[in-house]
Amino acid sequence: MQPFGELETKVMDGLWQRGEPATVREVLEQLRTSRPLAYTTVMTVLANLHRKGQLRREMVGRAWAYSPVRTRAEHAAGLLQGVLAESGDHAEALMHFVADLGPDDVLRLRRAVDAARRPRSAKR
Amino acid sequence: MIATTALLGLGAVLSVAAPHMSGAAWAGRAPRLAVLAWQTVSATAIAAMVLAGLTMLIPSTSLGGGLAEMFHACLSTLREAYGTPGQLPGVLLGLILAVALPLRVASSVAVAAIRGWRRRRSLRRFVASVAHRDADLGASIIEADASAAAFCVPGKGGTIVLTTAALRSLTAEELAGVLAHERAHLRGHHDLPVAAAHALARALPFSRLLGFAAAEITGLVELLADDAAAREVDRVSVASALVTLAGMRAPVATLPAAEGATAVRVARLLKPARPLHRLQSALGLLAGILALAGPLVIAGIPLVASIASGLCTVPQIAIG
Repeated sequence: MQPFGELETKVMDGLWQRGEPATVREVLEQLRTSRPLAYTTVMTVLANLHRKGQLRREMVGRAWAYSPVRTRAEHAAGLLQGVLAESGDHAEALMHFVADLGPDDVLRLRRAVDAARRPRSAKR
Repeated sequence: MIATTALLGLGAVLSVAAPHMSGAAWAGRAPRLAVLAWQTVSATAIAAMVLAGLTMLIPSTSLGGGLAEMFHACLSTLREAYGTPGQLPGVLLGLILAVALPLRVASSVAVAAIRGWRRRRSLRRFVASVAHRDADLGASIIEADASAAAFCVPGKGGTIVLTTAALRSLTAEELAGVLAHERAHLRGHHDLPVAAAHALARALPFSRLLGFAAAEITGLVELLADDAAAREVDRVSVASALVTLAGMRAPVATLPAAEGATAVRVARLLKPARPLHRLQSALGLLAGILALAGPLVIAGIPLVASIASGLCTVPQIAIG
């Protein structure tokens, strides 16, 4: 799962914000306030996102109306999975706080931590 | 000849012996010194090989002439001091060690630096697009209930990232410990020694020494960050945070070594080892400096001897 490019991100953000399907023109209007864009540019981006499986589309009148396949949260979670899965090779780009442990190790270490927490007076 | 052999021998001994020093007890007591030690051993081994190559090139190439002129030494004496039996293999091997080896290392480091920069940039973009910044915590939070993750993306504009699942499972002290640990990584630029060590290991993949050094340094910087966290929050809370997050089965790609390392980190936090005595640290640093100078000294002895003797061996000239 690849993260979006800059324009793709803006388009997806706009669609998630909107909450309902949008045509090319509607997306263009939404984005135009922040930057000048051509109709064909937005059309291409939406078509690409649809091709990549990120958007579904339905005919509304004579135009396609696009909406996201996944919610923003689902998308984020999916990207996160991908990022975490490949981070093992690149310890210098992403430094995890801790690596996974098997359940036996976790149990043993949890006992050790709890034992260290017990107040010293218990040793009397 | 002797210098060349000694240098090759030094490189070989370091490559074979140093990996056995992995997990030495003193490393946990002085992780910073241990990182420096691994870096020193790696640099010394590589320097020994490069200098061995240079000594092989002195007798038969203009390198000898250049040195002779620079130091006003007799060229033929110099040639004899560094001479190896068998000219062609000497030059070939010399070129490999003195030219190809440094080029390989340099290009590997450059490629790793560029790739690392790109990867970090793409990670930062990803975080910026899916996370929201929590100014109080000084971290970016990703809405994800299924995977508990806590990590940092180092480098310029580095960020600490946590998922909501992680936030929910940590107590306030544990969370403070995690944040302090990641902040230590960012402040200390721990990604640099890790990246350098991995780049060297990729440059010379047959070298066990460089592979061990990369793995050890990666683990040691975690100890450094744990110590920093333990200075801000109590040690038991940091250890507790480790266990809590490690047990949440986040889909993280782990190396088997990393699992054992976690247990070591917890044990070390619960029962802190005495730090090294100041004298021991100073001696360690001194040893490192001497070690680095070693190959240069070995390579230079024949040169110095040639200059000092002032003698010039007359080359055999066929008469008649």
